[in-house]
Amino acid sequence: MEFKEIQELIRMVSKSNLAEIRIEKDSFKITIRTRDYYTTSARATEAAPVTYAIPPIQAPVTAPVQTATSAPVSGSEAPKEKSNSGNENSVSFKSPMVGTFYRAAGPDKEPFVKVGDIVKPGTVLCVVEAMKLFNEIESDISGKIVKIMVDNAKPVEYDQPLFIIEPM
Amino acid sequence: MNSLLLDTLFCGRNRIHMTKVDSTNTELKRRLIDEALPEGTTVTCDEQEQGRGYSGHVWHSEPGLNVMMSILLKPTFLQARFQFYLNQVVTLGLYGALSQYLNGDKLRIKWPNDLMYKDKKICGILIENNVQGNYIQNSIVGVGININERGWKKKGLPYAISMRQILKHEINAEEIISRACTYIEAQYLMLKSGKMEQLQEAYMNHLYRVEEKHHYLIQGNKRKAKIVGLNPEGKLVLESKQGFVVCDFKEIAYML
Repeated sequence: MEFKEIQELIRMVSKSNLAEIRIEKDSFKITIRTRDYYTTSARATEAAPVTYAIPPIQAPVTAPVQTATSAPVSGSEAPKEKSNSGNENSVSFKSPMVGTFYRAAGPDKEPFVKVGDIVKPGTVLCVVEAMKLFNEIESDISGKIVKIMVDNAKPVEYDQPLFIIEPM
Repeated sequence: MNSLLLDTLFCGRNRIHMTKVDSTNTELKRRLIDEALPEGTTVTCDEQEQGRGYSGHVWHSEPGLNVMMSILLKPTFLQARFQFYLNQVVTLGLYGALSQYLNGDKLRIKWPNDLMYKDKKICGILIENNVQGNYIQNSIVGVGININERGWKKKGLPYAISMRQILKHEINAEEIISRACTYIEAQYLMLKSGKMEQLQEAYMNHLYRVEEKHHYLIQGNKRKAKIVGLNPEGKLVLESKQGFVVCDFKEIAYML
């Protein structure tokens, strides 16, 4: 696939209502995901009502070739929205940044939190690492961990749900 | 810090010096749990037993041969997803400090946050943040500078170089610490006052191998490419025959 064709494909997917598109042909493989993938994807059983405005970011793209045109976006406080996993009060705790998700401080260390753990503001939930910057991500609410949405050492996007927490 | 070269408002003003410590970053983290430390608190040591580099590379250092320091910053104004600016602040600060001694044209910043003298590494950085909500609370900036090492070849570090090897004389660690604090603080205050474009421009000006064609391992494939810029998250943008590629740290290896 030519670079131009990929660009065209990205443009097309951004304009559509698609959440994700995957194309595989011979040894070539491309996956393009839009903002929708992370807000209404199959991970949440049903699309959850959005209680905060989601900042308008260009579609994140995961592909061997990527565009370099996403612009910085002005800030907003939007890390939580209601989720259908757990009971109806559960909130999803979202990634404050792009990076790699780690559940423990090292390969031989205990995970920071497990399902069923009670957390409070300041409890470290995970580490997200990007470009040699290591971030201990702390909870800003009190509650119980109901579900962990991402596997260890997997890449995460900004605003992608990481944990489902039942507030207490 | 009893040095006349320390020209700062807060960096290095509260100074904790240890003769021996596991790592200065770890020491600063431990102390933060027990007490409220002012911004700019700086931990230094003579000997570091478990200095950490990227992905847990242990970096042992013997007394007096290297500068090991960790500075506490509190960039609570900075959204976590724009934290690449911290890499720029720290590398530009250290560039400023070291270019007082070394030829500024040979000193370059290797993306994301190493300092190179020609093709050899002279300084490494490890930054660890606490994030709550969308914002950074504390940032622990760990810095290691090779000052008086006489060589590494036998220890399997062929790509390292020290200031002593370049300048052919002994370097005073205290002087380097003062200058590092002074220059890092100046860059940090620029970030705080919103001068991101200036930081970005300076960073690109001093970037190692920028606008030059070199071979890289990109996503596992050897390719000839040219570094042309950064995306807003700080990922490296390269141009090759196949078009533009955006790389995270794990997706690219320099071939030195």
